[in-house]
Amino acid sequence: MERPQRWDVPFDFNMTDGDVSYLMGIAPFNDIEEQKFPKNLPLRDIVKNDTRIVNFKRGDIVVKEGDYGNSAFFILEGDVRVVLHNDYSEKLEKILLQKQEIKRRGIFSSIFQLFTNSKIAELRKRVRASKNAFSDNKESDESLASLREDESGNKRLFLQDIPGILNEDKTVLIGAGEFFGEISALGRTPRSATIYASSENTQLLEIKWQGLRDIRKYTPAIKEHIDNLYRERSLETHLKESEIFAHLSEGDLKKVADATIFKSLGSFEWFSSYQKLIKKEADANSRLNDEPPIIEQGVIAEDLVLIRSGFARISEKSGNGHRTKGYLGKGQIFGLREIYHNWIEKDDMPFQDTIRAVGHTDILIVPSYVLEEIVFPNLPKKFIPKDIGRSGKLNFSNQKHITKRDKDKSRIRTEVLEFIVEKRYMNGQKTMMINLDRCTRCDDCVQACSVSHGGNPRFVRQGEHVGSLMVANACMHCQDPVCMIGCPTGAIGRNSSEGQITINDITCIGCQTCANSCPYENIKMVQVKDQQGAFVLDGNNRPILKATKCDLCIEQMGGPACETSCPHDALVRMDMTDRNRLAKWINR
Amino acid sequence: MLTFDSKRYLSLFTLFMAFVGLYFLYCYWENNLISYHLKTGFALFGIIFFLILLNIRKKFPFLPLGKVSTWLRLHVYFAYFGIGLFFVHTGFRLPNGVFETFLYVLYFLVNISGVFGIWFSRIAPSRMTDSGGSMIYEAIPGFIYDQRVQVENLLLDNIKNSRQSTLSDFYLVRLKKYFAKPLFRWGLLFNSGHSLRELNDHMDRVSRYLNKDESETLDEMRFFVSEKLNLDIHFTYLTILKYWMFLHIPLSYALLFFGLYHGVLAYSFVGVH
Repeated sequence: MERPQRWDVPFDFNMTDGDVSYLMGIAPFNDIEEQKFPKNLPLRDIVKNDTRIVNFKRGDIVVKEGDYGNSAFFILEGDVRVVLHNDYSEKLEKILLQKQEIKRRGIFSSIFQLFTNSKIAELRKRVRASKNAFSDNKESDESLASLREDESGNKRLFLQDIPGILNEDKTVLIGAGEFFGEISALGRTPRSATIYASSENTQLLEIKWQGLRDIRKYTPAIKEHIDNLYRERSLETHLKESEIFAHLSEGDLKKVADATIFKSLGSFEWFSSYQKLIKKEADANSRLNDEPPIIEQGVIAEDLVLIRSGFARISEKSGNGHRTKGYLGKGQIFGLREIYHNWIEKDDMPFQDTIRAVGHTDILIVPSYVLEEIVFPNLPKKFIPKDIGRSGKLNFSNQKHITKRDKDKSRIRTEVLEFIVEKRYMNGQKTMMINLDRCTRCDDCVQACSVSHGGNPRFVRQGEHVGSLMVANACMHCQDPVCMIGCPTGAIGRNSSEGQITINDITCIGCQTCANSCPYENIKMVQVKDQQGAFVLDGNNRPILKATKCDLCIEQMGGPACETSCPHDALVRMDMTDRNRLAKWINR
Repeated sequence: MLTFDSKRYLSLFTLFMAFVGLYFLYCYWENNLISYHLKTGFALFGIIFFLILLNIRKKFPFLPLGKVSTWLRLHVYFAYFGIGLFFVHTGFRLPNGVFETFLYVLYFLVNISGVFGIWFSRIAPSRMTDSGGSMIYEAIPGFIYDQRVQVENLLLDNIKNSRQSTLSDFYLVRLKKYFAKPLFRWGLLFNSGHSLRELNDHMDRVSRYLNKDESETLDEMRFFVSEKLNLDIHFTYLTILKYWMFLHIPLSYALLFFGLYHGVLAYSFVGVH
């Protein structure tokens, strides 16, 4: 058996050497210095294997809002339009989502699996991809009314009646020579907008994010260009999405955008430094020092901070250290209460807490003068901070107030917050949490997982714990899935609108990159077996490995079997950014 | 999200209302001389069948049939209601035939084992957590093996350094058996520190014969002794949690079978009345 390789399955088998030569002759590829690429990773091979040329007709959907994209696009010819957030985009979303199919097992197939599950652990009938396996466009939904075939026979979703669905004035045109889709490709986030081809002959170069990553790495000019695009487009989109600015007119929003500063903190590949810190068993203060401060306690409150992506720790000084008070995730804001208080009271109240970037964090900084001039005068009541009394004053020193809140069932204890932030568990969107005061260790959850995955459990009922709260070693389906960084084949990725991260077993080459990247050790490498129960070996008699992890029972009708099978209500799959639900679950 | 207490109060209130309803129904049947044994018999059999469905539900974790925890809650409260119904069915009297007595005893064995199971399932988790987090039952012998290897390595190093066998002799006499395998002890269920205290006493007694190096080794051994006790606590609780089901489930199926037999017999002779 030959060992699987990165480019066993290129992005497109139809990419020819002629296509590669054509691309190498045009901008931006003709400006790239090929010699800067390592010998084992030549630019031409990246272009040949990690890109493809795709032709679109007017109305064809290129990317759909909410989908998790693993590729970026470069416009070779024609142009595309980005659908901005408005009534039309909602209408479009409804039209597109109605036609989305989630492939789950049927009732008979579900029951049948009880009898077809093998007794041989990690049995595989196939371990390597073949060309035929990828000739179908499995992403497309054949039941769609508005499907048409492209010249290669692939079915493609298209808008039959653009004026009937959209007002093209409410779209943004992107022309030839521009990149798009880089935000979700590099940021591992869902597509932020729907984009369709707006000219009759639109030719795009689709670049897998692995290829884009390598090109950025060895070409500073392209890196700078893409980073600038990423920043500009993120800023505009994010401000438009933030609820606190929802009541502003277009003109006011532009004024806010002009004054807003975009900043990235921490390393894009933050998990490497985090893993080193964990291995060093650094103390709490050293770990805290590894988190760059965004705003420090005691500084006059002048800037509102919006978290664009990533996470931030909120803490306050306590003795010689810092006490964690909470954490912020994507879309959350910091500093509103102090700035609002200062505006009402004409005061100079400093920030009461420190926030620090945890991992890689993109933030937007909105100066207070813009807020005072444009945002606060008509701020809807629901955004007025709860700490502001009728007089407009903040109750910072009101001890009774704090004591009452601490007793509140909707609050999370400090040690739990410390634990969640220290271990970076706030990244989890489906973190498996177990209440050890309820769990009888019956392993029904493991059994259920095993039954639902061909006889192979995909998590371990063990993990880090604080008090009676345990975070088990099960994939958390992270908001920032660092496991996807570095996968040479794109076998691991988000492959549905629900955001589950799954591994394509056939294209996984067992390189262990994802397992090593996962900071939570939730991806396990397994040695696969054949139908006789023998380990499958390559030509050098080394076992073939595959990465395995929880897939949230994506194929099963009943959702995550672990959660539903727990007889004592001790296990939950928790979105850690939903702190209210988390607090309620902990304090049940 | 309802708290556990809210769920419990809600369930108990519903159960209470069901008992009140049953009482009025019983009074109505009695006062109007309506035969209710067949009716209550069918209802009781239906409840037993429903209770057994929990076990079947667990075999299909991938089907959208509701959470098993909800099924268990219904299982418990239907079982409590079943006890009331059972008394109504039997006319609040003791059995007088061999088969009737057998069925009566079987019903109570199932109920007692069930009540014990749910009670134990509620108290065991926090006690296990207090003695060291989460443990996998099948992995306990492996952990004990690791401990034994570490303790014996400590002793071998000590023998090399001190050229004395006092500590290793003590290990062979007092501790070898302790570290040999997981130990099931009823006393551990009641937070009894007797075994640890006894071992500590032995270690205290031997310490007067040890030199400085040996004393340090003994202190390290104390840590492993206490860790082993935690594993034994887990082992004891997990053994009971694992095996009470082996009593409850077969008895339940037996009850279903003999209950059905009893029903067929009763139904066959219903015309005689």
